[in-house]
Parts: sequence; C-alpha cells; structure tokens
Amino acid sequence: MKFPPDIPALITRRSLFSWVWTSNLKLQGILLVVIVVTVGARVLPLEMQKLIINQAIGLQKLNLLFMYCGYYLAAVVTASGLKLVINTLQTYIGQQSLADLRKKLYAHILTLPMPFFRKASPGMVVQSLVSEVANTGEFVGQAVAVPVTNVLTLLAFATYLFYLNPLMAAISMALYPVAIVVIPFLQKRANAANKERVDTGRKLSTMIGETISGIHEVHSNASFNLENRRFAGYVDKLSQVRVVWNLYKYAIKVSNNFFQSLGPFVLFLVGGYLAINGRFDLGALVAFLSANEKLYDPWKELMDFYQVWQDATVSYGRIMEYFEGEAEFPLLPEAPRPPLTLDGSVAVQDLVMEVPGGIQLLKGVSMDIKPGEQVALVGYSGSGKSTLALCICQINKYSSGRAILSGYDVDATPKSDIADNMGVVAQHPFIFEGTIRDNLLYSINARREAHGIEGEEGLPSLDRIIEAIQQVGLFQDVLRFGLNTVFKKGRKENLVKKIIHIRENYYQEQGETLKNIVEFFDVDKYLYYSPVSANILFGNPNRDEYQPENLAGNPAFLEFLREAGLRQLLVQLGRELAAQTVDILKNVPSPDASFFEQSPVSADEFAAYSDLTTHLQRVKIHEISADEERLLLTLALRFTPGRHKIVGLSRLSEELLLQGRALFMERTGKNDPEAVTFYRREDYIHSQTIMDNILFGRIRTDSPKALDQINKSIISLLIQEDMLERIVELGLDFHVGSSGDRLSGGQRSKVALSRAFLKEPPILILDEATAALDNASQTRIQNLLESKWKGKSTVISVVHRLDTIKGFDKVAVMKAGRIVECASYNELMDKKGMLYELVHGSSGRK
Amino acid sequence: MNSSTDRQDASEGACGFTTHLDILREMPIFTGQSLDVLKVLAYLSGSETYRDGDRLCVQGEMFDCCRFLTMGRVEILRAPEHGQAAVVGTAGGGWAFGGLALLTHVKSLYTIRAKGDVECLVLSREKFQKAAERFPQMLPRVLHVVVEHMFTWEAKVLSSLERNAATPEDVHGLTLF
Repeated sequence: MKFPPDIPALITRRSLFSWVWTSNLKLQGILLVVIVVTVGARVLPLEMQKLIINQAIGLQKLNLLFMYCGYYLAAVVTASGLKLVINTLQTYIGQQSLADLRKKLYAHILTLPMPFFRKASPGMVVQSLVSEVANTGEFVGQAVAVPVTNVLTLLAFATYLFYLNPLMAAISMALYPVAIVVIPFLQKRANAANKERVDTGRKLSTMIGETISGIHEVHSNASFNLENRRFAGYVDKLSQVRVVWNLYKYAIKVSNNFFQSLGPFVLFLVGGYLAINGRFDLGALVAFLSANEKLYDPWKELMDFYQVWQDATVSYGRIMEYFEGEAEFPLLPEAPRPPLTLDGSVAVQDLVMEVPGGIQLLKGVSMDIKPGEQVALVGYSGSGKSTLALCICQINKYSSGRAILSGYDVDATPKSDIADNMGVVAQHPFIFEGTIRDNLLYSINARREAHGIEGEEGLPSLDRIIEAIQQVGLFQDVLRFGLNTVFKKGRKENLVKKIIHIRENYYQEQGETLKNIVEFFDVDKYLYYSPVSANILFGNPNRDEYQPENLAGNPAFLEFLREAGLRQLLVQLGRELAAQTVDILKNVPSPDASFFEQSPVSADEFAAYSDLTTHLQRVKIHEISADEERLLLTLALRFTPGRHKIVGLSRLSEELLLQGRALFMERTGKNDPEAVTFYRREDYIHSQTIMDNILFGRIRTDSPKALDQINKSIISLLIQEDMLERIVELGLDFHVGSSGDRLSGGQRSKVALSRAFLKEPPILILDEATAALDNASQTRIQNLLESKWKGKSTVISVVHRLDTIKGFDKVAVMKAGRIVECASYNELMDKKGMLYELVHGSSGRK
Repeated sequence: MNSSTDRQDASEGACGFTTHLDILREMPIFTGQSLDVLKVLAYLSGSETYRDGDRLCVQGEMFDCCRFLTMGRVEILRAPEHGQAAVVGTAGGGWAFGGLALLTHVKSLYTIRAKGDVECLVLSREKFQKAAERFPQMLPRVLHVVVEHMFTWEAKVLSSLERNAATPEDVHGLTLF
C-alpha cells in the first residue's frame, strides 16, 4: 500500500491529486484488482483465435473448436461484465469524492472573512459549487482506473505481439512515431482555424447587434445597400473559414484512418510473405491482426483521459484560487473545553480599523462599557459607528488596538465562544426559506448544533416564544398568519367547532360595523373578494374532483359550464388574465413571490403561461387544445376581482356567473348531492381560511388599520374559547418564502430582533436594527430594552434617528472615525456640543 | 340590486389596472418613466377608501406610501413643535402626496384628514423599491424629477427672500445645493 503524501489542512492548498488519495481507497484497491483481471480477459481471446485457426480448424478437430470458442466467448463476456463493474466503481468513487469536495469547500467558504464576500458574487459561488467542481469528481473517479487499465492493456497486447513474432511487432510499432508527428501538426492547424472561426463569428454578432441598435439611423439614411454589403463581407469570410477548418478536421480523420489501415496492410504484406515461406503460421497472423486493431482503443482512452485531466486541472485551479483565503479569527478553541461565559463588559482601547487603500475607518477609538449598560452609537453617516459595532462582535477584523470582552481579546477568542455570548441584529437580516418558527430559533439552533445538543433540550417553550413575539410587536402579524390557515377536512375537528361558535358570537357583537369591511357569503350577491370557483360552487367540495384546483380537469364540471353558457366566457377570461399578467411582468427580471399577489398566475407557472400566451396569439380561441383550455380555465376559476385588478368583470359576466351558481346548486342537488356542501352559517368551510370562517365572509380591504381593528376584536373571543395559543402556533408555521419575501421589511426586522432576544445573550449588538420599523414599534423596542434588558445584558445600539436615545445609559457620538463625546443624553445636551447639533440641526447653534 | 360602493372596482369594461396606469402616467414624480415600468407600478398599486374623519397619514409617523386622491376632499393639518394642529389647506381629486416617501424612510410632516368619503390610489415604498431594484433606469429618472422640483423650490425661496429683504442670519440654515 502506497504511503499517502501530506495533505494540507487548508482546502485551497490541496492539489488535484490529493483528492484521489482521500477517495475511497478500499474501492480503488478493488478497482485495481478488477482491472488486472479484465486485462487478462482481453488478452485471452487473442490466444484463442490463434489456437482456433491453427489447432481446431487446421487439424480439423471439432471438439477443440467448440472448446476454444467456448473459452473465447467466456473471456469476452467476462471482459464486458467486468468493464461494467469498472465503470460503476469509477462513477461511485468519483461521486463520493465530489460530494466530499463540495462539503469541504462549502465549509471553507462559510468561514471566509468579510472582505471576500464584499466582492464575491453569489452567482459565482453557486456556479463553482454546483457545476465547476463536477469535472474534478469525474477526474478523481478516472484517475486510477483509466490510466492503469489502458497502460496495462497496451503493455499486455504489446508483450503478446512480441511473443508471437518480434519482427512483425517491431514493424507495426514503427508506424506510431509517424502518426505522432503528422496528426498533432494537423491538429494545430485545425485549432488555429477554429480560433479564427470563433473570432469571425463574434465580430459578425457584434456587427449585427450594433446595426439593430442603430436601426433608426439605417432607416433615415436608407443605407440598406451599405449595410448589406458589410454583412455579406463577414458572412463570406465566415463561410470560408469554416470550410478551411472542416478541411483540417477531415484531414485529421483521414490520417487517423489511413494509419489505422496502414497497419493491417503492412502486416498482411510482411506476415503473408513470412507465412508463405513457412516462417509464420496463419493463426498467429490472425491473432496479430486482432491485437493490432485492439491497440487503438486504449490509446484513444488515454488521450481522452489526458483531456479530462487538463480540464479538471484548469477548473480546479480556478476555483481554489477564487476561494483562497483563511478565516480571520480562530473558529474553535484549540482543545475541546466548555464555552466561555462572558459577563457583558466591553472595553475598546485605541482601536484602529484600516482598509485597503490606506483609509482609516476607525482612528483610535476607546470606550468602556460595564455589564448591563446600554450605549447608543450615533453620528453622521460615515462616522464609523457601524464599523465599531462590527469590530466588537468579531465580524470586522480591526487593524490595531484592542477590543476586550470580559477580559478576553476579541481577535484571539474563538468564534464559537463569541457567538455563544452575543446576539447581533443587522439592518437587513438574514431570513431564510422556512417557517417563522425556524427563523426565530435560528440562533438558538445554531448554538445547540455547535454544541451537539439534540432533541428538545435548550429550546424555548411556546409561551416564551409567544412572549418574545409580543415584545417586538410581531404578535398581531403571527396571529394574522394563523388566521389565514386553511384546514383540510377531517383535521382538528374540535377547533372547527369552536370557530363556528366564535362566528356566531362575533356576528352578534360586531355584525353592523363589519358590513363595510367584510363581504359576507350571501347567496344572492356576487362575491368580489372570492374566486370565481367559490362563486359558482358556493360551497365546500366534499370530493377531490370538486376541489378548486381540480375543477378545470373535472369532465362533469366542464359539461356543466357548457350547459350554463359559461365555458367560453371563462376561457376568454383566462386568456385575458394570462395575457395581461405576461404583458406586465415579462420585462421584470426575476420577480419574487410578492409580484404575483395581484394575479391568479403563480410564480412557478409564469413560464408556462408565457409560452401559452405567445401560442394563443396565433391561434383562434375555438382551436385550442384540451390542455390549453384547462390551463385557461384554471386561471379564470381563480380570478378574484377584489384582488386581481388587471382585468375587469363586466356586469354581464357577473349576471351569468350568478345564474350559473343557481344552476349548479339545482343540478348538484338533483344529480350528485354529496359532491358539495353549500355554505351555511352552521358549517365550517374547509376551503376557506380560519378568518374567513369566523367572519363568514372575506375582508374587503388591505388597510392595516381595518385589519388591526378586526384582529383586536377577534382576540378577546379567541381567548374566551381558549384558542388563542393554538392559532398563534399555526401562525408560527407560516412559510416566509425565499429570503423571507412573503414578509414585509418591518416584519423581517422584528423576526431578527426576536431571534436575538430569544437567545438571551449577555451582549446585544443592534446595527440600525429598528430602521425599518414604524414609530410605534420603535418605541416599543426601546421600552423593551429599557425595562427587560437593562442591567441584564449589555446593549450596543447603532442609531440613525435620534428620537429614541434618551433612555440609554450612555450616548457615544462619533465623527470621522473617532468618538468625540461620550456621556449620558442629558449631560451631552446640557453641554450643547456635537449631540446637541445633531439633534437640533446646525441652525440650533446660536 | 348591488349598491354602487360594492361595484366601484368592477365597473363596465374598465379595471383597476388601467385606471391606475392612467393615473400614474400623469403623476409628476413618474415623469419620463417608460410604459413598461409604469405598467408594473400600476400593477403593484392598490386603492383605498376612507370615511369622513379618517386620517390618511399622521404627522410624525413613518411615511411609507405615496397616495393619489381619485375622489373626495381632504384637509391638510400641520402642528407646530409645541401646539395644536391647524388646517393649513385642503385638496381634492387629482392631488398626490408622499412621493418622497417612496425613496427613503421619512416621517410625515403633516396630517391628512378625509372630509367625507375619499378614495385614493396607493403605492407602498416596499413595492416601489422591489420594482426599482429590477429596473435600473427607474431611480435616475425619479432623481431627475426630484432635483428639478427642488431647483424650482429654491428659486421660489430665493425670490421670496429678495422680496422680503431678509438678512442672511434669518435664512435659518437653509442649504442651497
């Protein structure tokens, strides 16, 4: 077993080959054994050929013929079967290595310092991890198998040839050097021609692009002849270059074939001469020719492997160069030990932070903060307040001076200790795809994962979570998400009963005031805030085929639509909805989920409807296929005029739909009474949200004031029925969308604040964390900090707006990288210095 | 059978979107924007209704959307630093306010109160910013409009100062860009 060389710990210093060493060596060993056997199985048929011709056919021995043919077949089948095994092993080893590389590379990337991420593009990182590393995996899989197999095969065949007849072997080998000279020469010429082809193609494309951009100039000058002549010039040149290039390519192919054919020719000539003179037997000649032909394949595989090796080296080198860098701070303590507990004291001494270019963002900052103190960092933009906060929490690496937490230097303490003791809230927080609960518990879960804590240990209780979201002002939002939940039939039956009960109480108490903001489910009125499907069905589907999303594919329903005179209407409506949505959004690059709130088309369906709309521009409405009709009907059935404003609902359509509703009720009652349960005040509507069920209608407006009003009145009823916690729990399971795009900016900030508060760290760093919040929420957070966290946690808050700083223990005013004032708010205002100027504007100075 | 207030969003043929688009094309802050951009903004806009006495925005509160009055009248109230709010003006259909709120976090300088039933078009800052992120040519054009507006405003201030022959100290820290 070969001794593996030293592999550097830092991934970017590892060579490409090191991944072969760390691949599954046991499997590589098995692979080698299989290869050796395969090579043997390849040589055997050659010997069999010789024996068949000489002994079986020559001596006319039938039983020998069968025997040797049998061996021949066995050898060929074995070789093929083992080749399959080799390929499988190769792929498996390669993919395992690739997975290992990806995991280690990602782990390395996450620890890279901030300056890397300031200039890196996420797209480049994605591309590197997903596609660029793929050929490294391919290489590692092949690195042992391919060269060894093919070199051994070549050697084995060559040896056999020499064994048969050294003279002829030497002659056949002599042809190779010639091929080695001629073919690369032709290849170089072909490559040059190819390069010229690519350049010419590029010039042609540029020229076309320019001309199209300036087409109004072409029209105004009527320079059509001039432009056509220019274009013709390029096109002719391109076609010429292509002809030359192809000539070289074919020349290479022809040469290859020629040298291949030359071999047998020489062998027949020389071999035949020797055979005629009795110095060479027929069987050996046949075996020789076979072997000679078979030499080509291993040779070709080695050439291909060389290409794979080159490509992998280039890609690998590029990736490792891009991700070059080391973590700026130690990540873990040198020897495993329990995490440090900090008391919350923060000291900064002559801290300097310099960035490339000689610019000093911090020019010697000193400050002392006692445990539990609350300090506000204020100053003009660019004064360094964020920089200072980020230096203290080990995000930025300061250049000189000291930052000390409970006596430990920040630049020498492992990140695991610092992260355990610190809660950091940024202005634009990281909210990831998942539930609100996942996002709230992110910091706590990170800490648990880092210390290997499993199960329920360390998780806050539901009560604690509810307390936390109440404190930051997220409670109403979470409640609203909970009230927007839709239950499947058969689930949570006791909850359903309570909701019906609340419905009745609510209507009795609030019915009159609700009339303006709620559209009740009234069988005689068209519901503008419900989809067309709900308007027609006006009930709860009991069977799957009547579920709103399946209606367009339900033949019975389609037949009903035709009878009711609604089918063409809805198809046309669907077409308009699709066309309008596509027309508006086609120019929006990467629209996120929030762009689809105003249209019945959803984000992942957009591409399909885009294609459909293009197709429909050429086709008449009665010529569309059944599938296309289904797509359009789906949209039409989702149409909610109160929400989707891109298309209007005419009075005629409304009347037809209301008549359709009546017809549907009558027909279903007669033919299929079990299909749908019509809306009744005493029944729960499973296709609607909890809120819709409580109101027995839909809310008409988006104004936050009205929603708050409804929420508040519902809360007391929910408490009466002891349902409040259950609803909030449902709300915590709301999926926030990719990057939290289903939440507003304020909601995202509140989630981030809650996340830090739940962690209960001794030090809290808030970097303009409340900038996106409204006044009421800001004040609430400020009061929370003063009442709950004063004395308990040290708070360092970077503040842009100055109306909330009165309650802080100390205010540090920064200007141009230095602290110019640091004392309590009142002291600084009395002094009438920098803070006074900031608060009152320079006009305040008299 | 249906009251007119129920039907306001579903009148014959026209739909909310085309109404919004027509309004946005006339709004000064969106001068010079391409039709594609305006379509997206119209799509992202909503409409709100208010009853008599409702406040559309409150002085000192975060201002997070831009509104265009389509129907009804409003009163503009302004409270000095220490004192009661007083009506400083009224406005009717066609008046737009809050354009600057689309660009940054600001607090409202005045309170707007509905007199009778009021309807307006609303575009929130969040939606505007999401669109602006995706159309890089949007913000420079808005900036252009805002700068022109400021320039006109400065000219007016300067000419009113000339007329009143004020001394430089009375300029109260007015910064001329």
